[in-house]
Amino acid sequence: MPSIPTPSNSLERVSREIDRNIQRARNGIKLAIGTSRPTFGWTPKDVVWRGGRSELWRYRGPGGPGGTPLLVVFSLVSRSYILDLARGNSFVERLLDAGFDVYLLDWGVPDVRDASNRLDDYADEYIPAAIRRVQELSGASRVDVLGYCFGGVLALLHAAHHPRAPLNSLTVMATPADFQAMGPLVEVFGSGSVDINAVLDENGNVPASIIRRVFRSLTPTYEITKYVNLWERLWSDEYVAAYQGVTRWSAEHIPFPGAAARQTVDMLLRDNAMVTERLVVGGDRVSLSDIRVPFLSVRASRDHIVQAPASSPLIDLVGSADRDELCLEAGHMGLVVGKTAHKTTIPTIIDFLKKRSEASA
Amino acid sequence: MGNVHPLRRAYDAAERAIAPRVESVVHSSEFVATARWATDARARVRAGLAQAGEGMWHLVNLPAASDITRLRRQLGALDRDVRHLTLELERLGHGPHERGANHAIDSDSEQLP
Repeated sequence: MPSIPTPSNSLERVSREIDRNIQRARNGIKLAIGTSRPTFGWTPKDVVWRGGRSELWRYRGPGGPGGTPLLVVFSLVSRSYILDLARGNSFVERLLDAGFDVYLLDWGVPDVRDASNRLDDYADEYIPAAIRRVQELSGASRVDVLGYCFGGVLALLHAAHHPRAPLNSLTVMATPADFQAMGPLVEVFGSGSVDINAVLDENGNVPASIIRRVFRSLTPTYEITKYVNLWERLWSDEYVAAYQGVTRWSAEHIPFPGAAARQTVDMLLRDNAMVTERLVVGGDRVSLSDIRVPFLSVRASRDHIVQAPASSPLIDLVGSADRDELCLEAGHMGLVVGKTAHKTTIPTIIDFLKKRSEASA
Repeated sequence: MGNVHPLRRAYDAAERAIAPRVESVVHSSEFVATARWATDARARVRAGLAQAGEGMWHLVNLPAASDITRLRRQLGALDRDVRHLTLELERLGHGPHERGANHAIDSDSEQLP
């Protein structure tokens, strides 16, 4: 039953609307003239290893080094600062506050020198090199690994090809397994309609503009909806800062190495190799069932990029006895930024990692 | 629901009606065919321009853009091989990050422009 408005309630509502309109005007002007440019990737960090364009970052935590080492493997097609968007809205910050010694493997921006990079290079060379460096710096014999989106694919390939790798646990977030359920990607590239070689640029990579167009085609009306959402919440400084971060991140894709793109189309998309057991890494036939370390798959029920049919089979493909799945009411980015991330995703991941760390201690 | 602005409700209703139709266009065979046609056309134009340019530059014994591209890609492949070797040396303990080298290469709180 609706409450009867009282004079004080009405005054309060009017006053709130006036304040919000003032805030809207102020934030709108700042956005329009570009004076409000928040800094992303703000958590202090050190570069502790380099390989080509790739860098391994070690974040400086509040208590200094000494926590359980956690290696985050990021995606190959977007910028890693989505995990460290702003103070109070940072996946990395929460992990540090929980006492983890956080490392992130960032792939940089590929250029002509990376066009020949294959998926095997990342799974068999870069990830193991990063793990070794984490072991050296932390003194730990085993490392927790967390892969986000396509970073999860790379982490899975590594773990499957190296079942004896010094992993304490493996967590993947928004990671596809059934690539035949990846929507337009399958229709365009998987069916052979468009030859992947025809979209490579002069450097031999899939240009960032093509990747951006593919992602935009997944939710065509989002380009308008995001402005409607912004208008509605323009009074909120917090929302505006997050909007700027997410919008910039969505527009800032990076080129995808050509050889890795060909392998992705041939092996992952057309052969659907993760599901059909036809994965070949470094010349060896591998299977996700060879993964035996404690495993957690985190997926988003409203993920428009890696939809549920693509990510849900993963939990049944790995061979880990200790395995779990967390499906959240969130979108692709909502797993790592925003309220759902901070209330549910991150605490669950921290809980999972801490339990596995205690078990192996 | 009671706090949602009427304009927002109207937009949401319109979006619910239009979005599935727009998405079905993107998922349609016609869209795929158009994407294939556009990609093929772009590749043909690029190849045609490259061929014309090649002929002209080679006539005066100078490298064409396609030669430069080929050379850059070969250098890129060579760079990959060097990276492989470097990583292998690191793995064997002979690289720049030998065991005990417990320091940062670059200490900065990286700020994006």
